[in-house]
Amino acid sequence: MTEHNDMDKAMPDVPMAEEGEAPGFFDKPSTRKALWIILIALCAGFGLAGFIVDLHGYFPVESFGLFYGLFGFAVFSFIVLVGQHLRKILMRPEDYYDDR
Amino acid sequence: MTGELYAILTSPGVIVILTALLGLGLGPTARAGLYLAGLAASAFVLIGYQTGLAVSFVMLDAPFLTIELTPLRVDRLSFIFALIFHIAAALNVIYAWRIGDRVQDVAGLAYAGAAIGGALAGDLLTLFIFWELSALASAFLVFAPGTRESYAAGMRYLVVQILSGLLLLAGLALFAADGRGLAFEAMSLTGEEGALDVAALALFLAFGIKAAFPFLHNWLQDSYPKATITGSVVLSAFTTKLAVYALARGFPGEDPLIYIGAAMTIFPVFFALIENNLRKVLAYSLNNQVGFMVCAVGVGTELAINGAAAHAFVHIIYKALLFMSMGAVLYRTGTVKATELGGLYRTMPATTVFCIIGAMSISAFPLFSGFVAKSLTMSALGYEGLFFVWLVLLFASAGVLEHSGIKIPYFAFFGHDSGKRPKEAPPQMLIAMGIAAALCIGVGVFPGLLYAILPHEVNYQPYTADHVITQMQLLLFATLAFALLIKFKLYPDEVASTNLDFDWFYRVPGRAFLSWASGASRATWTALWGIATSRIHALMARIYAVHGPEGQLARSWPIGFMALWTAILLGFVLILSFLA
Repeated sequence: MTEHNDMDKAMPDVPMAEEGEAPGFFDKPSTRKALWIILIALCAGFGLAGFIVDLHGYFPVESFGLFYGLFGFAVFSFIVLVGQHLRKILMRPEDYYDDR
Repeated sequence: MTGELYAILTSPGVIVILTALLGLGLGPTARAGLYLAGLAASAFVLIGYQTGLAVSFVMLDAPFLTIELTPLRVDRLSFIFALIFHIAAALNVIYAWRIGDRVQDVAGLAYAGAAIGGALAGDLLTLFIFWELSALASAFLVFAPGTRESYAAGMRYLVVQILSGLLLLAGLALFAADGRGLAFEAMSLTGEEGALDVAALALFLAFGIKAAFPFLHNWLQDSYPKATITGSVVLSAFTTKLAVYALARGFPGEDPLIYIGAAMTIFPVFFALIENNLRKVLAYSLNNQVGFMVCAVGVGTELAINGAAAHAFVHIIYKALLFMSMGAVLYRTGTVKATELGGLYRTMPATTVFCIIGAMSISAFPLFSGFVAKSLTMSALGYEGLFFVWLVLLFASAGVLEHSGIKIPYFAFFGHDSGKRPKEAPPQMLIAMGIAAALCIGVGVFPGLLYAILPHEVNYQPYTADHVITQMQLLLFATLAFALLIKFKLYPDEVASTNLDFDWFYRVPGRAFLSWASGASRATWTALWGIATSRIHALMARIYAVHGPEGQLARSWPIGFMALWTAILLGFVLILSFLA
């Protein structure tokens, strides 16, 4: 069987990076720094807005101005930090089903 | 009758299937042109019926049984599904143009036609026919790569799909036997006295298999990532959404669906996190998205059914877009494994942008299509006061951002640099992705266009300050969590691996049991056959011993023996004559 689930008869020849290639736009420290600033500014902006605008949700918890922000942060961290331990139970070698 | 026959033969599903077959003898470009024309004609017919139409005829009129069929029914619920199926099929024709594989093109469009026919079926028998047609046509797309693993996955796929069809057939037979007719209308799992309705349950399970309910879901993650580049784009659109339509038609407001849907939104999140194959991540994500729709169908209010239909509509487009972008990566690099990708944004910028648009749509960022659809469902849950279900779906929303919003584009196009510098996707693929991306943004910016075709009248404003602020908070703070986890190296590295899911039970112990059972039945048969033949041999030997040339009965009898018997017989006659 083929290693990849590719319908193409032959694997495409993929050109590789050349020696001394200039760093890409998103690999420049200045870009990364800018992205951090934008992200933090947006979080701060929408976080503050939650306290300024009257949030009339369907449930009492929603009236707290930062409920959604904290919930999103906590849930995302939970999924990543806890979910990865599933690997201990579920992970098998890549060719696990090949001879089964 | 001729009028009805004409309407049925020129119904959208039939037109699309016939167009698919017509394309068999053509070259790739002519075929793509024909297919787009066929889809346009079919969509034209469909839009002509938009105000509503039902074509019925009596198939059987016997004293004990009357069967009336409605092969074509256009109402607001079936219209939106049939329409989006046309759009998805057209996107795929453009996307697949470059690859131009005859079998896949024909099977892909026939599959789309079957889904359209199924959505427009007004009775269970017609639904069954299109249901099975869609299973058969789509199986070609799983088999198409021709590898051993896609063959095995295709067989598993086909078995599950046919099982769903058999349940549908059983359900409709029970309906007919009960004299309830075959009309496909809303039903309930419980009868009037609260007893379980077996016929409805069979249909519910048939729909549930195709909707990939928990524990019935593995056919999806098993087959879609193994299909061809275009195959997984086509597959992602139809089967599960036809099932969502069938549930919305047959079981609106059925309470168990709320909890089944909620479970569907949650568990794939964790499987998607640890999965290395990005097309499989998308398959789990598909499961999660269908969960939102199933949950909304379970709530069953007008707002919720609108939510389910709107979500299906936008989902088909952005999921196709995401599968197309991963397909383009696969086409250019030969892999969609996160461990082998990264840094592709340098040489595939357009694909990167389209993928991000798909990712932002599925994550439901304001101004993207997911937002205007998902808000309906979340509000419907709010109106019904289903706090915990609402909380689960909110949790799942952050999960969507994790696996589809961030993981897919990040690991393919950014992340650690794989050093691969593939060419940009071919123009046909870029055009298809571009149209899909434009639709994602178009629906997000002008939600009124979508709301106008929803099953029920919409009186809903998605862009209120609190909706936008709360959703942006959820997404931005979750993104912040991602950035911090990456920064502090807490985000798990991708690992080349196979992760077990529920299908392990039938692929490993189930298979072992089956081969044990087949070995055992073979051994039992051999033993029984051995006993039977040895008995027969023994019997034959005895008969031979008695009747054979050397047997007692074959011996020539001596004269004296005859004389003795004659004397006995004469004596017997003498006694008898004395007595008489």
